[in-house]
Amino acid sequence: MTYGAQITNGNGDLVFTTEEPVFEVIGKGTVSLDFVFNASVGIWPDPDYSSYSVERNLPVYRNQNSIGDWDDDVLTLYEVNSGDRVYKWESRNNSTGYRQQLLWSHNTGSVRYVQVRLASSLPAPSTNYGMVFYNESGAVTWSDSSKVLDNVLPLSITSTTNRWFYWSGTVARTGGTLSCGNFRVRGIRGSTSSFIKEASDIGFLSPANSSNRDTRYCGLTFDRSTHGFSANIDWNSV
Amino acid sequence: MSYGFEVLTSAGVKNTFGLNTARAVRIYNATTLSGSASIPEFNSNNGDYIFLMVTYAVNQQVLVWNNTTKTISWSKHSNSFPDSGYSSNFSIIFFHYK
Repeated sequence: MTYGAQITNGNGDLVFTTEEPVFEVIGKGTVSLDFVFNASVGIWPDPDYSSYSVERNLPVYRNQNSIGDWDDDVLTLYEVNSGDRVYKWESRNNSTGYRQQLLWSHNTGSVRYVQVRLASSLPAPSTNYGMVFYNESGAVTWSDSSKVLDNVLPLSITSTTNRWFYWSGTVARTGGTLSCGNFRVRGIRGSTSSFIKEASDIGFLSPANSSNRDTRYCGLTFDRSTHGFSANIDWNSV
Repeated sequence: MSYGFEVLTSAGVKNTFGLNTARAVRIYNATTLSGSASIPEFNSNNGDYIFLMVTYAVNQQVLVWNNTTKTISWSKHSNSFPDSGYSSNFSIIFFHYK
């Protein structure tokens, strides 16, 4: 770059330039327990369906927004506590604009989330002190009064401090008789030492008919390329 | 702090020492059900990429990154899902976190 500013951190990594967008924090919230899914859910960790486990009585948390409040470029990071497993589903109705994300979590309290947007232009500072960066177009790309994700790390890390995640992956719906369309899902399991991305296959499974799960019940087919990032978020300051 | 800079703010001191902000090095908008694109500025050793559906569909294409040729490719799953189940309008965000 021939002008502007860039920042290198203590490891010598380039972490900011004035010409690249940053993840701006635009909201946060808490989702509470909505209901307990008392049917059985099959979790297939292998694409060949060679083995699976069954989860029962999964607490379900529902994060509901309509398109407009929750645009396509908004990423939602959920907090995953140590030892917890969270499976994220997403569904939409393109006609009504209704959109929701469902979480299955063993956390029996509530699940916090932070929403971010990749922003090429941040709000102008409201104060007349501090520091502001502008890009070539004159847009604010960083200021000390904006809330941005400033500690972003890989999805799988050996740290217990980063417990906020955005994750996406490739999934395709297979046939089924249940209303299982418009789902995308990825699983994340937190342990005491690291965060593990699970490329699991998740579907509904009736205990009495488990042998027919491929054709009679909803299933989701994954590849193993879960992608995303984790962040160290100070809930009180975002 | 021996180098970098600090900013005094109403929320305390911000400095550059421990900063790890993700840098979006490329936002690619795909408009085909399958295809590939060259992303020379991305290195998977330094970051990752994520899929954002612009026009929503039930299924999401398989993304494969080749860090040698710097090429991202997307295609349907090997299963026989119909084209209508996939979007031909989605974005791939490539970001570096170091």
